[in-house]
Amino acid sequence: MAANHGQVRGQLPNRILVALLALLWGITASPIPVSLNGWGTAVVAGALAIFVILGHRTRWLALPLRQDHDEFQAHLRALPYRLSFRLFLLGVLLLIPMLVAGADQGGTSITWGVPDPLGPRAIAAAFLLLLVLPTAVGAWIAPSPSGDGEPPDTGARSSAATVSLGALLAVLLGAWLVGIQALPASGATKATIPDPQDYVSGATCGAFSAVSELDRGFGPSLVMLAQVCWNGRAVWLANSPARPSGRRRQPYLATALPTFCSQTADGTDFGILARQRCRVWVDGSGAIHVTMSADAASGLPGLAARQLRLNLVVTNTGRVLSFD
Amino acid sequence: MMRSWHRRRGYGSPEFLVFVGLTLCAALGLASLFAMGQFTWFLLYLVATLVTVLVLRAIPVEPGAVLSRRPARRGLVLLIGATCCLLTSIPSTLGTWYLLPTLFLIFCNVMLGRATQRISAAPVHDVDEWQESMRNRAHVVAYWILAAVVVLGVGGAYVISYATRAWVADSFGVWIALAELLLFLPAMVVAWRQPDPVVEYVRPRGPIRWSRSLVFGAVAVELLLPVVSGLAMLVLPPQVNTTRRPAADQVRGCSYLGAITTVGWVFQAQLPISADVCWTGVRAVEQWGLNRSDCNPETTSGLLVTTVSCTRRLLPNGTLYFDYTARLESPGLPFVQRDVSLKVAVSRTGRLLAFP
Repeated sequence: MAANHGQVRGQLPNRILVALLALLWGITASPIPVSLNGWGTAVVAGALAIFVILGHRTRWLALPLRQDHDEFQAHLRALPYRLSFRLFLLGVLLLIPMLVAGADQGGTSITWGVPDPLGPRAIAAAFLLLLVLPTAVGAWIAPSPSGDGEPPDTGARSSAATVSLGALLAVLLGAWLVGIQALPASGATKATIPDPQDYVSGATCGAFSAVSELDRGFGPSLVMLAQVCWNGRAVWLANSPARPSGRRRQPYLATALPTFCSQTADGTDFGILARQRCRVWVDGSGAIHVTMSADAASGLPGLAARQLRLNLVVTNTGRVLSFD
Repeated sequence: MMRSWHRRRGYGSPEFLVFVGLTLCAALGLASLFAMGQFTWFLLYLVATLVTVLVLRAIPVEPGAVLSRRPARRGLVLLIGATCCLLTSIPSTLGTWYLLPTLFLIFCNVMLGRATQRISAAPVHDVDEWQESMRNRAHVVAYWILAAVVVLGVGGAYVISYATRAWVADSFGVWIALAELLLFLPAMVVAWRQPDPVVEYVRPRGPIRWSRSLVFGAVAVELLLPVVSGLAMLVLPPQVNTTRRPAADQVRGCSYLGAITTVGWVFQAQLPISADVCWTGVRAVEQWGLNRSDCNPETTSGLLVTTVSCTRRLLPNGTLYFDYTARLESPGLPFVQRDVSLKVAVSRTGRLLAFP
């Protein structure tokens, strides 16, 4: 009885850490809030830090880093894996409605946007779950190791594993910062002409969406959603309250689109965007220039910041001169 | 099955009560569908498949002479891997092409269950110490294989380009392959690692053998039925049920024309014509029901229906002519299609010149 009581007391800190880990995973996976406003990296890093602490506290029982020296230990190590299979399935089944709910909230629901149905949060949540599940389940169900009956080098090997994994995570964080600061931005553009969703009498409209992202989506991303209409004489941006100066006012589209200059919720989970600037003007040849730029940063004060820029030029006959 | 359940867990156990509750719900649902006249062959097929799965899970299986050999088991695992790769490579636009590989995958999983005697998911009291140790090791190995496949496959596709991101999200095959890994990967690892048996396999005799043969026969029939149904869609003549009566508002010179054309067997589609047509002596005119928005299937059970043409014309002699042609594809035979045309022609005097 006393031994059981002691075992429960030994498990309690582990279980609190597992609950905290589950909470951080939930924040990463959940569609609420729509954007993590740059806190995504901190949330994932926090979850990974808890994973390392849990691993150290359980002497990395769940990771295949050492040989089992008896059948009981082998069983103790395998049980979390058997449960983890089911829990990962459950996690994937939870992620699917979360993705649908997230899309409904406007992040990726604009049908003419550059398609990114999964999103970095769902991917990060899935990877995080895969990595931490056996260790978390093991920490939840297994008693804290007392050290009795273990080979003498177990503690030292466990500490070495902790240091190695901690160092690996620090390297990954460094690589993420380097990716934001120095690696080229990736991106995609999508033009739908004519825009099937809207109709303006005597004019043709095109839906233009573009994204410029850092760290292949796992950093800040700038998203542009521009609806441009033209009629051979004039060209204008439909989803913007600002009109090109010196032009006759054109009929406004009725659809409730996000205005061109409102950054959607996508792209600010794992990084922040500041000083967003939007500019629309019509040059002498009658072509509209739509530019959008912002300062992208990692969210860590003073570390990794640069500018992202998107550019669209369309003539009054609908020719796309530049879109990148 | 009930007796084995009682032996393992008892009739008062939560699992048994949940099982009884679910069975009652399913029976009530099916009974209400039957009462509403919505009980189709396709639904019966799905119910039969579900019952077969439950019976298959309940009977004990043995690998047999071939599947007890390690090379055969490894071949089966490779076949499952190749089928998963094939499924992930099918673009989402070719929706009907998913079924055949999926059916083959189900067949392979049934064989995998036989080969491993389903020890990876068996209750603790149904496995011996050696099997317990074997499946413990298999779960550890399988988990890291799953992690590698998900990180390299899904993660790789996510970072390569937006096109590959969309592929992963939209492809039905990717999700089937993921489900396959989540549900059967430990069994695949067991099948791969398990050594050859020391004792030669002895074929069972009597009722066990017959019951097994019966269940595996049912599995074979259910897996082949979509293919047979695809053939039936091609060769069986459509069944037509027509109605012609005066129009509902009792206007003279108007008629209601209704026709339901049923194509296929088990996997079926029903194409409707439902319209009011009037005639004046100079020309026939459509009141409602012969428009582009009316060219839709009434019901489809397992067949993919696309509209090829939907046209309404008034001929110079005053005849109203309507043509609705639909293309039917069966997932059981995705490389063949059948066009079914429904034509309606009403003369200016109200004579029906063409009708399904």
